[in-house]
Amino acid sequence: MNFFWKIFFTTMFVSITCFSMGGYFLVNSNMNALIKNEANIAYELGDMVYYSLNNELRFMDQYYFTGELDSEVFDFISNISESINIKNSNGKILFTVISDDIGILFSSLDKQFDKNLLNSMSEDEKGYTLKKTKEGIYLQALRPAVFLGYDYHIETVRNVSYIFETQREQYQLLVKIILGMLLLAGIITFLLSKILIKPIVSLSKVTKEISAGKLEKRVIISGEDEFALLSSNFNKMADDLEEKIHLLEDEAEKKEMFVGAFSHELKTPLTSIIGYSDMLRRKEMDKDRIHLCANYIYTEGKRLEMLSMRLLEFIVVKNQEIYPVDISIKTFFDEIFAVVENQLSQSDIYLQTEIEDVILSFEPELMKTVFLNIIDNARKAFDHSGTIFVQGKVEEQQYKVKIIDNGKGMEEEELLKIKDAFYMVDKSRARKQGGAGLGLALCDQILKMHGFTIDFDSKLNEGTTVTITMKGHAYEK
Amino acid sequence: MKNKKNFMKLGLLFILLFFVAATPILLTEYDNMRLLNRPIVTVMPDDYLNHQKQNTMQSFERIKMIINANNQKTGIITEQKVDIAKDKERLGEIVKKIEEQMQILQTKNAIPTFDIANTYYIKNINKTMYMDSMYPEKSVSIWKILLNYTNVSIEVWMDVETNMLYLISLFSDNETFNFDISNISEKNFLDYISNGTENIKFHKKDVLYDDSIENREGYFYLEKEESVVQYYYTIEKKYIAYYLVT
Repeated sequence: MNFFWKIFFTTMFVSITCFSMGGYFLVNSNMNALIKNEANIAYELGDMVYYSLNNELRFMDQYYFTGELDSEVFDFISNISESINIKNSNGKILFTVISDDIGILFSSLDKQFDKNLLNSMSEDEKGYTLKKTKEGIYLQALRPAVFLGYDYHIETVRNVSYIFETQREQYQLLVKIILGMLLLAGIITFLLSKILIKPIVSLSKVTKEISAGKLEKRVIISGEDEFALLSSNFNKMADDLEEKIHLLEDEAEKKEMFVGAFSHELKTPLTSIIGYSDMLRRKEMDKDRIHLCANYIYTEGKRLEMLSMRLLEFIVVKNQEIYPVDISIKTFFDEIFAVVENQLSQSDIYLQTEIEDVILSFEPELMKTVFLNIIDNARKAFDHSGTIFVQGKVEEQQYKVKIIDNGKGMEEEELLKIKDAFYMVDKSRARKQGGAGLGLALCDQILKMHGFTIDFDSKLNEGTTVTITMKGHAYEK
Repeated sequence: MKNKKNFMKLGLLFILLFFVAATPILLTEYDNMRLLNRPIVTVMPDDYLNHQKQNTMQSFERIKMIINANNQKTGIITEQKVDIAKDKERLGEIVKKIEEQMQILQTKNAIPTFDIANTYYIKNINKTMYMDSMYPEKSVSIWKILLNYTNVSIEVWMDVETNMLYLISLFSDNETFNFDISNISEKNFLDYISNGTENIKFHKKDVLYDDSIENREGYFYLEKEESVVQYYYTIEKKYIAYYLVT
């Protein structure tokens, strides 16, 4: 059952219950009031008859009544009742005089009803009841009277059919009102439900679109009600979801690329190893050629070993917890320079340093790997001689280390990829130099673990500047 | 299947709605059935038989009651037919009382003197009781009689209790007979009517003939405590009447 019907039935049940019960009490109280009024009129008419008869008897009994026989009394009362014509402002009053001893003495009523009501009345009580006939419904009222020492009852009758007719008409009106209300409430509820569920429909539509892959779809928020809040929260959820999905996609893509690159890197040495080992197996070769082939197999095997070592290192670092310690940056760099100095001088590369000493908190072994890799990359950027300048200083509450070389430099688009695993700017050269393309990826991973950042600035044939910003930790000189 | 289930659910809710709407009608049908033939009884007031009290009203109040019974919603007028043939003895007594009152009026010069023959003919007679249903202990009963004598026809309204004549009309259709109206004055009828009543005022209006002319016609008003009774009078040689305007 949809929302419209729920609102419709709820509204209608409440409205119709109120109307029905209200109508019932209203119509019934009106009817009871009318019946009570008619009963009072009937009683008044009975009183008028009683007073009139009583007054007539005051002046006539002296002439006609000796009071010796009961029948004489009843005849007398009957004659008096018959001879009088009682009128009020509404016309002639019709009545019946009933003797408690012998029954009806006189009646001018055109409707006769049973007198069972008398059985329910004591001698000092008046009463009324409603009687139904083919012609309509009548109110029969009886009041006690005493004439000439005998007990009587005076009966008056009122036609009260109009009260029941009025009641019927009022109920017809009530039914019409309820039907009208049903129609009106239906229209109002329809419009209201459309307005109320508009944000829900919109939300539902956007949900479907998002689930179909349109992650950029959002709910249009209007107003400041609960639906607007829901829509706003939904949009936030969709934003987060989209971001997470993009992240997952990136991760998946990276993994795919990593596997692709790794397969490729494996394939190259394996091809050489297989090719040269096949040659050794199939061909008769002189000693020098056998030595050459074996040397190729050994070199490529070593490369495979190095590749697997690097990969292991990369995976290990990725899952490693770091334990930073406070360390003097100058001491730290001195150790690095001591390692690389010899190799650089052999390559005819001059190392220039300018390190501002501060105490920084990091994992020294991991950070050593970072700087050794970067300085080694700088070394590889030279075909011949050159200069590597390592500068460390405090800038804007952060410690920045710049490794500047005046080597070959890189194109701008290559800068975006150099941190990817297995990416090499010059593959053949890198392989010759024992590179696996995992160095910067490893560095990036270590720096991320420390909360540090790495930036590259390079111009082709001019050189490259690598800036490592060590932030987020307290330092002191 | 789902649609069918929903349709059935809607149908059931509509039926329920119909029953809620129809509940007052069904309840009323039941109430009405219970109402028929059900006796509803009330105890009468203690003095419901002791309403008759001595009529101590003076003439002015009694006349006023006649007027009010005719004009007010709560007024009751009870007319009683009288069997002239059967009630001869009683009627004789009534005529005797009328003649006594006429003699009083003649003495007061409210009506002229004329011979009343022993033979009379009652042309019409009935008794009318005037009452206010709000005050049933008070009532005024009047004999309304039309009598024919040899020369004169007389119409009177006589109070059953006090015998006072509240209305009188004398008419002669005998060409040789004229009333002597030289000393007759409507003020004398007022004097008769207001017998025993204190602080009564008299106003005379709408006089159609000058006082100096013998035949005259007009209205006079009796006023007491802002309550007014209006009389129409005509005094002519053949016709003298004091009519109570109701």
